Amino acid sequence: MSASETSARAIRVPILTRVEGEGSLLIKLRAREIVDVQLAIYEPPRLFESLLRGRPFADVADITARICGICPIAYQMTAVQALEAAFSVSVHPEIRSLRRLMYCGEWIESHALHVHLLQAPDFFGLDSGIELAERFPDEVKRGLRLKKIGNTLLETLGGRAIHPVNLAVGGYYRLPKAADLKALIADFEWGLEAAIDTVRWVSTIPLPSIELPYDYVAIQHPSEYGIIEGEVVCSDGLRIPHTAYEQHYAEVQVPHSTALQSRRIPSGSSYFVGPLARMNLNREQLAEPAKRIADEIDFPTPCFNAYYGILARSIEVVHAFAEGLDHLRSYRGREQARAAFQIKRGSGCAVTEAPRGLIYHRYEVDDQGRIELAKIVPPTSQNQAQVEQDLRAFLPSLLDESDAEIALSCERFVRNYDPCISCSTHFLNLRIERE
Amino acid sequence: MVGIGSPHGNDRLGWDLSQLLAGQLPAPWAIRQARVPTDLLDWMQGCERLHLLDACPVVQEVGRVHRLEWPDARILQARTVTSHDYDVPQVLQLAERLGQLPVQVVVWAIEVDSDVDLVPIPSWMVAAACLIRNDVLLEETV
Repeated sequence: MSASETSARAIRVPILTRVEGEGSLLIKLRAREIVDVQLAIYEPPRLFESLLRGRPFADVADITARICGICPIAYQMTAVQALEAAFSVSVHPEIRSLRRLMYCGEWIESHALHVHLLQAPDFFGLDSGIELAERFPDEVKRGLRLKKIGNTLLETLGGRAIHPVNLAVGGYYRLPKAADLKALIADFEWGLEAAIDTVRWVSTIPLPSIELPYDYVAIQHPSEYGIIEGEVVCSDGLRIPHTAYEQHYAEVQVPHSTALQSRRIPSGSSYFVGPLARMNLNREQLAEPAKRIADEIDFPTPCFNAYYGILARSIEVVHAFAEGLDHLRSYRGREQARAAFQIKRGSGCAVTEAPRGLIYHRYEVDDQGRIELAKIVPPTSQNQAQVEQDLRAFLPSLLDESDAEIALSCERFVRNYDPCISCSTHFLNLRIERE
Repeated sequence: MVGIGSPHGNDRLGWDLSQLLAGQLPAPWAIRQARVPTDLLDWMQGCERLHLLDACPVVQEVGRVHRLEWPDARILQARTVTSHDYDVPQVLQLAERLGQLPVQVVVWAIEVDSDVDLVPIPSWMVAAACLIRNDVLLEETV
């Protein structure tokens, strides 16, 4: 037996770039055997759930928005909908339409950033979006303009693009003027065509081939692409009302990470949330332009190649512009910004689809409207166990590479998930130990 | 001349300064307010001189004004830790790669603490605006 077959090896990635947050990855190898893969979140817990206890319900949307600067709408929307469930509030259809529009804005800005500046450089062997801009200036400029349109919409509906302040239990604090939304139509018309061109460009990028078995989980709605409500469905056939989420999915603590990992109950297996899950489960409900471009580029369904996440994200940008246009064109304006309701003791939960996957909130409220219990399950913590499992499957093909090459490949692979580690905490140092 | 920030808290320093300078610079100077650094890319077309107004942490004293001209290493070091968006150094690098960077880029960095009240506008900010205006006008005559 040669020395290389018995030697121990530890590989570490000090900082994973182009993801939000910090964490570390440790890979332990004994000869050609993968002993352990640990995605470790070492940032101190942020304790948002505890921070909310005792606070008035009206504070929840503003506080939870602070969990993430990329996807504050996901946190706010899920929070207010969970509280609306607790108070038995129904929102007006036009308010619901504005909420879907708002969510489209968040998908656009988040996906455009990830596709152009965070992930695309990987496929050209480039270190950053800045280097990509030199090679593909028109595509990067187009991506930045797409992102800006998403931000402008969020500012119009939410008061500001980062950490908006306008969502309220029952509706909004203040409704936008119809003219302000109509003014965005031209940008959205341009954006729809530009997003389609982006999908065509992304489809020319040679993506690595890898197929792994996934249980995809996303929300599904009978009449629309699942974004703000629906049943929780899994690609293995499990279909549950969102109120049963905690009976089938649970967060567990692992010794190497300060962030909880979600697993399925009772199997303890991992699952995958996000654009690829949504595309696999809900493709037929995409807006027509998105469906057409997905067909045009022969997007495979089912698709078990995580690298296709960049294509799924691009297609969802098309969907968001197409759906957003419908909402913009149909908005007439209304007097009442939010529904009246009685504060009462109760509990409620909600699920929505953050740009990077399903997010779940549950709150218990006392008879004064103060939060007694808060539970927040962000998408990145749901994907963490899947990331570890995938790396175990992915690593054997890399073992002949240098530690530096392995570290780089792992970083690139992890970026498929568009992890927002700040949401659960932060990422990534990679450490590989070869025993 | 672009103030970077927002109307909130001490992040408003760049915007307040830009408002103080409004009307004090001759044509073709234009005053803008950017919420995020990528806004700059919209205004670089045809721009020969770009001056940015932004807050920086206190090293010496509140209100101290620093004039940094691209590609001063101190601008490149002023990285924020977020990946939520591109920060000022990244946007300037991006513009450079895209061939959009104006001939002259000056970053006016003004020291401010998080606990300093900017409402009403403090005298040191007015003094900073005067200093910046005078510097720009002096350059115009050279």
